[in-house]
Amino acid sequence: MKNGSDRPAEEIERLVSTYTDTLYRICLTRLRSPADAEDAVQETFMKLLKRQPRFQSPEHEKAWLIRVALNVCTDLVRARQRHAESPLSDLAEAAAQSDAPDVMEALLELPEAYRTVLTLHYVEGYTTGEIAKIIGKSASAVKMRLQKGRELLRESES
Amino acid sequence: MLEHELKNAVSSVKMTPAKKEVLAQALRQQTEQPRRSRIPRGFALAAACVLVFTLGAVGWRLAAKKQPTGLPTSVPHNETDAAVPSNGASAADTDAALQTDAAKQNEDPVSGEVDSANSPNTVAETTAPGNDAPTEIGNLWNIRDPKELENIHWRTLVRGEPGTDTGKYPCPLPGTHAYSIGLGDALREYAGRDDVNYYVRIEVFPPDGLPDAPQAQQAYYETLRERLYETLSIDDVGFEISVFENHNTGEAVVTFGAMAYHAEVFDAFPDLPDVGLFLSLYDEITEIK
Repeated sequence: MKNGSDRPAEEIERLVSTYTDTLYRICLTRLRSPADAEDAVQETFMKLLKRQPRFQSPEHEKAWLIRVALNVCTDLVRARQRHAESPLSDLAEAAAQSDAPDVMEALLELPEAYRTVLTLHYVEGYTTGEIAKIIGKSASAVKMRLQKGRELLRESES
Repeated sequence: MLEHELKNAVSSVKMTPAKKEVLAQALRQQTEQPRRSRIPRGFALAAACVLVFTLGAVGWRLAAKKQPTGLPTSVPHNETDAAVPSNGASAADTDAALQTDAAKQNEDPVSGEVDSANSPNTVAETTAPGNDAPTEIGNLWNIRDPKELENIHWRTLVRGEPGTDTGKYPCPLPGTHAYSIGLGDALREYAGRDDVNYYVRIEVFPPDGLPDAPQAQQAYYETLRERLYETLSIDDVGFEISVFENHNTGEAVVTFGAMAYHAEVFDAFPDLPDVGLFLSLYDEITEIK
């Protein structure tokens, strides 16, 4: 599977319509800032458009995009730390984007490691093995994060 | 129930259509930026030949003039360029991580173009000689055997040498302890490029011997290894780590972003009561673009 480099406009339309919401959710969960999440999504698409990697399947493409998006987020987080004047995450604004802001806020208040894994598993439907490949951790580590994340969420509910 | 609520809550988060349109427009603008005008390949080849010949002649004459004074002033090394995006380590990592074993055999996801050129190495010496083939970045992140790292060209940025002062962080003398290394400082001083992979090697050793001393106390080394593993296994996305079974050595291939993000963890590492430690930091000569 190859991206349509010969037809960039159509390729952009396809990417935006297919993956934007998924990537935006993941980036928002990671960054807790709508503006930063939008930037991260754009940066992720640009990396794909510039590089034009070959994918074996749409699933491969999606997983690639998710992984790159997560790394873009990591870079953004680092940039925030480096430049103290940058605005910090606006958790309330991020949570308000959900139909269930309370649950969303509870998720966003979890440590980063749990937020991403929970999102990938419960929202995007990835298995622990698939998540392990995406984030570069062992399946057991992913399971541990899922378990701990669930516990923390329940604690926050109670 | 909780999982169901979570799914509903997060799934309802979507980018508005207006913002999607803005996003698409921004992407179109960025991709439609005028590119370099293409020069006919034959003309470019001829021009390159003339340039190489001219530079070669000039260099030869300069070298001939310098020859009586003695040794060359720099160590040449090969530089290669691979076609990978600016966050390329991440992207390449992703490709490698996501492919099945079968696919790995059939597909070359990150086939870099090699642009070999000799250039003076103003930083340090070239390490890990051997295979001159371009590094396949895509597979870099799957490395689990330290021998595989020998096939990659790494350039030394920081290196502690046993008993010498050649590195930024000299190795402590036998008998000293808790040698303090600040990887964060090393990063700030020597690293800093997002488009380059860095290779970190940390070695720990007991105060009664250098790293290559006979490893008589197996249990002691095992403790060191576990501690090293705990330290290097940073629990965060984007930080790929490989800790090998060398008892006293921890090695990691990381991006600057990931390392900088976790530099404070490395800074805290030497809190071992009776352990010497030194660090080597390399950047990959194969730069990712």
